[in-house]
Amino acid sequence: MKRFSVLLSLLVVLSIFLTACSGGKEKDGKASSTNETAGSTNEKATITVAAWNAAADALTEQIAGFNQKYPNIKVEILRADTGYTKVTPALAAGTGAPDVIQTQARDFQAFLQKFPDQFVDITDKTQKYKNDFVESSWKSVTKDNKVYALPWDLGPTALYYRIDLFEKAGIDVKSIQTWDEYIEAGKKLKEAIPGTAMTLYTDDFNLYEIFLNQMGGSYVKDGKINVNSPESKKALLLQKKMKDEGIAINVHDGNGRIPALTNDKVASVILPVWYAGTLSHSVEKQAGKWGIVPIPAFEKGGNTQANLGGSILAVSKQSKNADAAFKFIEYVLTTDEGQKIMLQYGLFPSYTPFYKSEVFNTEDKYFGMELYPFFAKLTTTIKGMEYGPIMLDATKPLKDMIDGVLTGNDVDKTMETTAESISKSTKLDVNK
Amino acid sequence: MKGPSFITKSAGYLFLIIVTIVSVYPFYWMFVGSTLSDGDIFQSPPRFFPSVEFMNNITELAATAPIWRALGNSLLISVVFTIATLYLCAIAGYTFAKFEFKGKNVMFGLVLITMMLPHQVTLIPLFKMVIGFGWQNQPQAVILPALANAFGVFFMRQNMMSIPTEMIEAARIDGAIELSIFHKIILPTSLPPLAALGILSFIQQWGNYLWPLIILQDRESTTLPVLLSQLVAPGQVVYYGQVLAGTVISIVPVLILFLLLQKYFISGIYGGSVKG
Repeated sequence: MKRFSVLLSLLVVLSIFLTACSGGKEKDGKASSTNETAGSTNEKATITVAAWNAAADALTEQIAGFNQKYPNIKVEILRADTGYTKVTPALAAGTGAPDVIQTQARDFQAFLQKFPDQFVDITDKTQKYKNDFVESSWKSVTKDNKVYALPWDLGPTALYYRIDLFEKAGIDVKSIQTWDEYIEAGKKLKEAIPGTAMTLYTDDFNLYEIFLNQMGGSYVKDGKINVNSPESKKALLLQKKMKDEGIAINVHDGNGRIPALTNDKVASVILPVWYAGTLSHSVEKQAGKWGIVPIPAFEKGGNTQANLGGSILAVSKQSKNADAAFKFIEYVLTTDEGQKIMLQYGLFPSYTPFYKSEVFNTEDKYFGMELYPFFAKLTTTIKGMEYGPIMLDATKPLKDMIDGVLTGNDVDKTMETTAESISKSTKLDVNK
Repeated sequence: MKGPSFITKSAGYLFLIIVTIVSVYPFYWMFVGSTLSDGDIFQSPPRFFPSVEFMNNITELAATAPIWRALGNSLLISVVFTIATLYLCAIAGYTFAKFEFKGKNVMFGLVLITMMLPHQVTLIPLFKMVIGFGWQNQPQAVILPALANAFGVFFMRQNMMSIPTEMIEAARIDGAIELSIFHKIILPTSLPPLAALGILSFIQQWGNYLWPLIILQDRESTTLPVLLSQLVAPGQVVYYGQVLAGTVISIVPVLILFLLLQKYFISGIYGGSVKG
């Protein structure tokens, strides 16, 4: 009797499961069939756009301008998180996804790999913009020669330095041409102003990625994991040297930077254009004390440009109004009106025709210079980086690799084990 | 027997004082930070006394994010969820504790099995189901799936086992129907565990992040923790004063609830441990 009731209850549970599954499938089928017929923009359409934080604020402000051009397309902005927790279930389930999705540029290849057939191929529609975007930015939105997203913002990187502290330590910023000279200047600074370090780093792979990109290295090369490359080794050793010489302090995360800056614990930071906004807001009192120069090169006359960050906008295949969705990203990313609003929110455009506009060329009060034209000059030799489909899985191994090297583990061995562990979770081969 | 010596006693107090400072300081820092302007929050040495910027921070936050709306959503979801959970878990726990019926153990086993399932396993099926009902952006999408959860049923059952069966039988002899026995005798005698479960459920739902983030997609329907988390993103300016002020607001309801129910909370948690 007892066994019978166990069996019975198991059956009940199973049947509930099965009906739930089959019900879901039917719905999907219907959704995808309507997908192909709809799409004309003359009809009334509602599109949803998922983006995060200031990016979402900027998009919200775009709606009024967009609706002057396309009064029939209603736009709703959804607030997503930067870890993609919000959009991932919908992409995995094949239902419930927003029409337009923001991802970080470096993560998008992983999205294309993990959710094949979830993003609309927009190659034909974007052909005419080919020369309008910074060349390197196309790399992360293209797969097998097909374009699946429009590049949004960029993160050209520079050396922000405290003019007053450099002066006090007797350092001429122009004399810093290479990273070695930067480290030497750091030692000088430490002696002149005890308690102030040259720069800082965080418990992530930001600095590593800047160095790697500067040298033209990449995480993946020809589809194989490349974190064991010579460039990778050089990048790791440089950060280790900065730490060992005591010129760079660890502040753990973005929140840690603010107290270090506020209390004069560091005299310079190596960060992208998007940090200008944080400096002028969070350390408002240091207005006029900051200068910006290109980052030092690895060898004299070498490349002084690198990118860190930036995001993209893609249209979801689940969208019933894919045309309308594309119209929206086209408007916000390829018009001066659209990019003007983006810039107000500190999003540096990869759309280059905008660099000629008046707003782009205004002087920044905090830095006392034309901020954006300066950074625009730092986008010309940025090397397109092959992130490959690994970045959603590689975060922890990469952090561990840097942490391991900084604490004194053997560099070659650490790079090897990191490559292996990324290979295990992504099924990609390791470049030998 | 003599009590502990003066030295042991003061060492104990010293230890407790240190632990208290360590656990209270972050909250105090948050509170002070919420009353400062962004430029002053990270000044070293840290400010010890609150300043006057709190209302300013809140007003600015409310201008950029629908904080009051989110507070309302959070309150609605948490209060309805807690009340419904308490009633359902109590009645189910009572049934499992005091009634004999066919298949009771199997059913109880099934309830417990759902407790072993990691949340992530059910996420996608649940998402599909709730989207299928058309419930995205609706409070019931957050309230309903976790109602009558296994932990609550188990917790109430363990506590109600210790209610003397004679009391129930006496009520039956006096002619009370089953539902009024539950309402008039069982519920009032179970106040401590109900208070404990109530606080736990409320805190759990109040701080619930993952599911509301996924299913409450537009900004009007979002809850407070989700809204607050969205004020911070890498590479973008963080308005710390606003974030801290928002966080202060978000802990006030929990604080009030806990202070009100504190005396039940402790006895309720221990209640089930005597007779398991």
